[in-house]
Order: sequence, then structure tokens, then C-alpha cells
Amino acid sequence: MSADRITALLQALELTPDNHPLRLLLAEMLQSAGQIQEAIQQYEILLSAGQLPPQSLLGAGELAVAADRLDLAAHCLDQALKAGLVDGTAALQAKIDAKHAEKGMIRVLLPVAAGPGGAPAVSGLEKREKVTFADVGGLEEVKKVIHRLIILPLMRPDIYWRYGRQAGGGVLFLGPPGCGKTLLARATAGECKLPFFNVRIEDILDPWFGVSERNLHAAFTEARAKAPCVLLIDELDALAYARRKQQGQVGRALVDQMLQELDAIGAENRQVLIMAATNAPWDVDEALLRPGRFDRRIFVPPPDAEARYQILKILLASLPVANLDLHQIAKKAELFSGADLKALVEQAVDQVIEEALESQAEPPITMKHLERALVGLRPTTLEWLSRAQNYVEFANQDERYQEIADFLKAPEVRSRKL
Amino acid sequence: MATPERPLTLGEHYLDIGQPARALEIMRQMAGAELENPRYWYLRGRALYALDRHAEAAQALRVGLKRAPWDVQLLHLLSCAEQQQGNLAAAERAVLAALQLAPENPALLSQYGLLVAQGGQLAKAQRLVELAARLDPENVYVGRARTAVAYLQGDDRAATRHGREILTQAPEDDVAHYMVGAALSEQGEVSGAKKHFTTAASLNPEQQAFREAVLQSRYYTHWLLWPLRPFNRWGTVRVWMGAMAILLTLEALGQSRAAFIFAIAYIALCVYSWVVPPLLRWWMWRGRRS
Repeated sequence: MSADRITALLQALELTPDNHPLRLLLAEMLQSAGQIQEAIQQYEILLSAGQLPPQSLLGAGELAVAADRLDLAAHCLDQALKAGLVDGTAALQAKIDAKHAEKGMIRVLLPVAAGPGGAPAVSGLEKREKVTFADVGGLEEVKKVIHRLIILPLMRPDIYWRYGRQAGGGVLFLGPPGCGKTLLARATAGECKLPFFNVRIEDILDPWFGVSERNLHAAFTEARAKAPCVLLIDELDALAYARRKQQGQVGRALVDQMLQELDAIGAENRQVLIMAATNAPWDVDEALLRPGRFDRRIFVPPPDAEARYQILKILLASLPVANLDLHQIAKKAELFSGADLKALVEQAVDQVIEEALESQAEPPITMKHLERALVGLRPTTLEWLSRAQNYVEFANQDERYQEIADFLKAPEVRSRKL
Repeated sequence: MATPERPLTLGEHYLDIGQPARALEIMRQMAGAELENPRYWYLRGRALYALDRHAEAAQALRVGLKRAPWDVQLLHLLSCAEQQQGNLAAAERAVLAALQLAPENPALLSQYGLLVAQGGQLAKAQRLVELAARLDPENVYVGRARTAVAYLQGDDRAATRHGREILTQAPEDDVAHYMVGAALSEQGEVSGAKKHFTTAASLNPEQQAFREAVLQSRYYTHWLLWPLRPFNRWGTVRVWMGAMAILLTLEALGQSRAAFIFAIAYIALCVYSWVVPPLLRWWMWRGRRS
């Protein structure tokens, strides 16, 4: 009987997906029918739409704790506190804390890496990312792509699930250094409000035989234990350098291990969003770029004029300035990366400090300072673009570098004669 | 037990993945007991060598050799660094010292072979690389040395054969593709050469020589140069003499009209050969840095 009612409610919701009371009814029916995961999905949709009534927040939170969805439980608790609920919130908080402690126990028992000499295991990589898209200047197009490719599947898994797609998987950010790949990845994690793990080669590599691979495995294990979460692999080219170019054995073993982790042999990567950043996509092992691994690639180009303006605005926000036309500076700073713009501002600040020391006053940063600094700087992206052009011209048979090729056709790049 | 060699491992990893500048940066931060480790000096030398700072590389390797005079790797790399600076005598001393320690090391024999080949002793070079190839027929480094010596001897067929042997072991060896391409182009097989040059450049587009070879081969196989193939195949003088012979024969046979048409066509071809190749070269190399 209840199955029939659930089916009927599902059909009704297909016709009117915005009928929130109906969805709440469905969630409650699913919960009482013991279909916990399905019920949670419905609660999640209501929660993301801001339509879960306050009196249902704590119930949904407790259900989430029981289903090991601590992120959702914490979200419910936040919403409940914001709605002014008091009764029951402390109990839910206690349940969440207890579950966290329990998870911590499980993590200790996992076979994490330890070198023969008792080298420290890879752990404690988790962070709560506070950076969001608001902290990233410009790159609006890239942000839109990330939202569509990454954030929506995590926020609305029901839609994607219905069409046979699931959240998680691999996303590769590529582009010149200093243009915000890592920042964007962190901001993506911040937007998703998920635990964030940052893995770098320095955390993984170990002189003991086999320990590097174990460290990598431990990093993935830790991330899976905290799913849903975001795992960022910085400098993917250093960790998964193309095996055909490798001169040593350690690197090859690391690539093999990475492939195993991505394919999740004997493990489960669902709900783990694996992001990687590289400024040398041509050095990344080709096997990693095949479907099911890092098959979604996002090119992060040097910022455009509007993005440069936004970055300059952020960089100069807390400094004394006067009569600045940042649009003009942004226009002149063609192909400057975010890091280059930072250097530009720093040079201008150096000049102002010199003036301040000489005049014993506190002069502000003016156009004169920025323009003078601009004369002495050359965009560091040029070297990368020149390298990229060689790959586009001579090694783009399978159109692997198509997004870079398209960018190289832009007038401001072509005028530079790389 | 601590892991004191962690930075060295990281440095070596960066060298293995072709980032010598990063490796050097890591090694620059090391101090104290680490500097007594010959491996540190070997890796430092390797990084400097990869960055084409050959004199500094040789200096670092010598410091390492003071700590481990028996280290064959240090001696081998020192020989290469000296060779790159044109110090052939110092390079020979280093490789001979290494060969005294490891007389049957194929890589050392190949290095010695390349060294004597550079000094003009091609027969001795061939003996050395053949010996190295007998000791380790599957060694890519040895194969490259063998191909290079055959090429320097002017034996382009042998160079092609040896290069192709490397490719059976390592089909993605960019240097082998380049060498085979060079040997084939010497034999006039421009299309075959172009294929190998293109593969070499696609495997390693950052190598200026590979890119230049592709552009050259694209230029020589361009359809606009097809009418000029007789000049490339038989040479300008022979083509001129042939044209004169045809012209005179036609005149002798009383075919003045045909002789006139032939003369006009031939002059048009000559003008074409003066105008089109430089224009094509300009067009293909436009916007490139030299």
C-alpha cells in the first residue's frame, strides 16, 4: 500500500517538481518505509531549495546522522539554529560529535602508511575551505563551467542520478602558472561546503621503497572515509608524470597507484570529487586523461581585462590609493597572471614606501606608481604560452590541447608573436 | 629511524620528471651532513647539466668525486659535462677512469665511443659502440650512440637500421625518431623522414631541433615545390644540361615551334624556382622566433 502511495507521489512530483509540501510528504513516507537513502535525497532537495520546514530540520538531521551523512546533518543543524530552534539541537550536535569521534576511531584503525623507520603517516590533510568564488577575481566563464560541471551534480544528485550520471569523479584544471587554478579548486570546495583534502608531491614522496604508493593510498582512503568531500591534487604532473618520459622507477609506481585509486579498485570513489591542477598538462600520464578518470578538463586562461580589473581591485582594497583608473591599468596589463598583478602592486607599493621615507609623509598609490611598475614587468604567462604553442602545433593530433589552441587564436595572444 | 634523504628523493624525483630547476631549488636548501653525501653532488651535477650549465655541473661533480673517487656515475656525468664544454681531453680522462672501474659498462663504452667520434676517430668509435651493443643490445642509450656513429660515418643505411632497432624496443623514443628521420632525409626519402620528424616533434615539441626538422621537411614536401623536384633529384647543372640537350635536339629535328614552347616553359620553371621557394619559406616561417 505504502509502495503504491510512494509511486503515486513520485509521479506527481515528476509533473510538479516545485511542489515542496508534496516532496516533504514523500520524504516522510520514504523514511517510514525504511528507504533511508531515498528519503535523504528528498530532504536534501528541500534543504537546497530552502523549503525544509523548521520542525522537520532536526528529524532530517537525525536521519542523516544515522545514514552517516554528517555534512547534511551539520547543515540541518545550522539551519535549525538559524530558524531559532533550541529544543533538540544540543542532542543532534551530540550525535554528530559522537559520529565524528567514531569515524576518527575508524580512521586510526585503517592501514595508513608508515615508513619502515616509523615515518609519519599521511593524515591530517583535511581542511574546511573558506575560500569561495567571491574571493576569485574575474574568470566568470570558468566559474560558470565549474558550477555546471561540478557543483550542480553534487548539489542536485537526484537529477544527475536520474540520467545515469553521478556526482564525484575527476576534474583537471590546466593553465599557466599564477592564474588561479589552485585557488579555483579551493573555491569550488568552498562553494560545495565539503571537507577538502589537499595532496601535494611533498606529502606523498618518501625515500623508503613502496611507502610513496602507500602514502597516496592513505590520502585517498582518508578522503573516502570523509565522503562526500573534495580531494585536490596539486601539481598533478609531478605526481603522475608521463611514464614514457620517466627516468626513474618511483614515479612509474606512483602513476600505477594513482590509476588504481582513480579506478577505485576495491574501494568506492562515489561522492569523492577529485580535482587536480597542473600547468604542464603535456607531462601528465595519458592514461589519467581517459574517460572515467580526469575526463573533465577546465582550461584556466590568464585573466581577461575585466578579471584583471577585479584582481587589481582586490589587491588594492586595503591600501591608500588616489585617482586610480584601474580599468586603464588592467587594459595595459595584457596577459598578466594574478601573480604578475600582485607583483605589479608590490612594485608600486615599494615606490610609495620609498617616497614616504623621503618625504616623511604618507603618499597614496597613484596611476604614476602603477604605470612605472608596469613598464618594468613582463607577463610571466608568455613563456608558458610559447611552450603551449609548440604542443598545439606539433602534438595536438588528438585535439587534446584544443581549448589552449582556441585561446592562442585570441588577438591579444597573436599580437605577441610567441 | 629518521628519513634523512627525503629532500634528496624529492630532488631526484624532480630530475626524473624533467624539472631540473625545481630539483636544484630543493638541493640549494640542503646543508650540513647532506653535503658530504656523493649522491647529493651527483644529483646537483645532473640538475646543472640538464639546465645546460655544464661548467658548474663539472665543478659539482668534482666535489662529489673528492668524496667518492670510485663513483662511476659521477665520472660518467663529468665526462659528458666536459664534452659539452669542448674539453675532450678532460672528458676522455673521466670516462677512462670510469672504464677502469667498470670495463664492461655499455653506457660508458658508448660515451667513450661518442667522444672519440667527436675527435674524428670513427673506426675506433664504431668498435666501441659495437662492443657496447653486444654487451647490452636493448639499451636505448647504446642504440642512440651506435646510430649517431653510423650517421657520422656517412653510413645512412646503417644509421636507419640501428635507429629502427631502437624503435622496436622503445617506439616512443623521440631521439631515435629524429635520428631515423635525419638518416632517411640524407638518403633522399623526404616523406619517410617527415613522418619520423613529425613523430619526434609530437613526442617532444619543446626540442627546437625536432620542430625545425618538421618545418624543413614540410617545406621540402610542399606541393608548391613539386615542379622543382627534378632540380632536387638530379641537381641544377644536370637539369640545365638536359634542358639544353632537349632544346638543341628539337631544333636539329626542325621542330622550332616545339623548341620555342619548351624554352618558354623551361624559363618559366626557372623563374618559378627563383621566386616560389623563398616566398614559401617566408610564409612557412612567418611569425616564428629564429
